[in-house]
Amino acid sequence: MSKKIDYSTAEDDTLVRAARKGDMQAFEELVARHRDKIYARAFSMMRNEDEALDLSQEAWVKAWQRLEQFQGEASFATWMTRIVINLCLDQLRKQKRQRAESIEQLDEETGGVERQMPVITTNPTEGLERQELRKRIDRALTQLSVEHRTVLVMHEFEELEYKEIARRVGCSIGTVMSRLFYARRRMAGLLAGLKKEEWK
Amino acid sequence: MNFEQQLKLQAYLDGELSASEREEVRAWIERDAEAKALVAELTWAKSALTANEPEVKVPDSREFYWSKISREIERQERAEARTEGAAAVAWWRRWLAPMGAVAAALIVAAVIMVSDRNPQPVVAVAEQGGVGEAVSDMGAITFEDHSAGVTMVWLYSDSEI
Repeated sequence: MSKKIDYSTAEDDTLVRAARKGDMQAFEELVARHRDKIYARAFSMMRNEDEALDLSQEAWVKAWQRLEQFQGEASFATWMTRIVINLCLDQLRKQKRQRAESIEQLDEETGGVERQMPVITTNPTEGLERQELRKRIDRALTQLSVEHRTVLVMHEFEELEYKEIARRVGCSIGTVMSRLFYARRRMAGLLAGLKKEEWK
Repeated sequence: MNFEQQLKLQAYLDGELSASEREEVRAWIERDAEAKALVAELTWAKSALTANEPEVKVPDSREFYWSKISREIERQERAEARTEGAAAVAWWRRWLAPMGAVAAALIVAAVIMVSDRNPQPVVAVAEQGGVGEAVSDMGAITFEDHSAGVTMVWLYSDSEI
């Protein structure tokens, strides 16, 4: 006879095992526990509430279908964020195909602006309240190009190595390095409150 | 400083260099103020982000968020079941006709082979018309001589009498 699970206190692994056997209540508990993190990751990449909601929910549906593939090498939350990141990357690729690249975006891609920016010697984030800093980061992320933001999120928030980012994004390690460099420099400029005209 | 050198400084910061390269870059940073300033900027930009991912929460309630997920899971499972059923029917449709034709051909071949090995009397009678009639018109007379130990049998047909 199988043991009854106390869903609210059970470990993730226990819930995953139960969900694999078709226990939807166990899966629902996993969703409730990690939904903010998964949604936040989708939002960081897409910068759009509706898209982030749809993609995060799609990620949960995919996770249910692929539970057998979860080997437990990483935590369940990490496994889930990988799924949602892949979905976001697919969505961004679709959008990229649909939109025409502007000259400004091409300039950003090659780093034309960031390379001319002076090095910011004083850390502008020092002394800022955490909430204020988070707001500034949030605003700054919105102002990055999709390509730069994607690499930045995958490296700083997801802590993926260059090689892994390159594999997932489908570009060379060199491209990852340059995008990350430009993204960081642009972030530094945005957090310092520099305007583009001051960079030149 | 060229772009390649800038990227090397970043790789140093991200721990993506080999041990020997790391030492080399560390020495370079110590003696080059420009390199030192750039590493300092990249460092604070990195740490500001790493420690302060914007906090966003799902705008929907737990129940509402889950209801969309569970509905989609159920919808996909139903669709999958329908697809599997349709695939099974399609499989049968695809193979049933050829299999039926092969079975019919095998049955006909088997009947022919059995017929060749055991010729039916009916066929013989049909092919050798009149034999059956002749048998039914025949009679026999038997003569026995017990002293001589002889038995003689005459066969005749009605037409001969």
